[in-house]
Amino acid sequence: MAVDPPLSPAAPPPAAPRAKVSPRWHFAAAFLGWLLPGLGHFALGQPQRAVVLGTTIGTLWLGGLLIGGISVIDRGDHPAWFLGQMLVAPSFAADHYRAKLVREHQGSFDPDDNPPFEPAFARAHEQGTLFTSLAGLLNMLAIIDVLYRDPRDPPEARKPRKPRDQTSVGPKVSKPAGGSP
Amino acid sequence: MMLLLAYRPFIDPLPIGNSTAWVWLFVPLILLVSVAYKTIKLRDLNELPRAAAILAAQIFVFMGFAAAALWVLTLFA
Repeated sequence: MAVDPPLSPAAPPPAAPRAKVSPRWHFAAAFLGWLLPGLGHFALGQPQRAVVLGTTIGTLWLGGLLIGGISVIDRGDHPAWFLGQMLVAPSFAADHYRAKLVREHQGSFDPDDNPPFEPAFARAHEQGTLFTSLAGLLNMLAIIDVLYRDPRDPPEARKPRKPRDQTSVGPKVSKPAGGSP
Repeated sequence: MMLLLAYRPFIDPLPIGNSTAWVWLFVPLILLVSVAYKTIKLRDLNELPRAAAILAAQIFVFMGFAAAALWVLTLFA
């Protein structure tokens, strides 16, 4: 068996010339990710990541609406929470729809006055606001993830690593081309 | 007229009321946050179930510690 000559520790292997790369910004993908959670990753060719993100963030957002109702998204009443909620674009549509319902009602929110929706109070309001705001904050992380990508870290580099037994140190035996007859 | 008769999902709030059932809403919240966060952070999505489970457990444990500490604080405050 042939033995490779030992490498001298004083002579490091020649480094590959470092290509001058500029950061790559994906504004369109970030915008898509804001429109619908996961859509930005889908646009960058990562459908598996897109499905998981869309499912989790979408479930959080819809769960918040289910718990607290439409009144948890209110730009006028609690603008600080809306800063988090607005990081998922459908929050604007929900806020617009809530404002439209209020505008068309033109009455009080007394139960006898048949209001267009029941306002949330206490725990339902807390949890609904928390769910929708957390969905927005997590979507902000997803947007940042697609907004900037180092060109030296393309999506192909995010594939699973090789198992350890294939990367073990030792002489490599190359298979003959052509295979068995 | 009772307003709850016309309950519409996503429009009207869930009738949680003053019960303690709302505490269980933290379970899906923590699980979903863990999975979404680890989906963004991990390079290899095959590691996602294990990493998300560990993060969820850490959040549960530290929220429990925080709740216990605050409860003790209220005993002496």
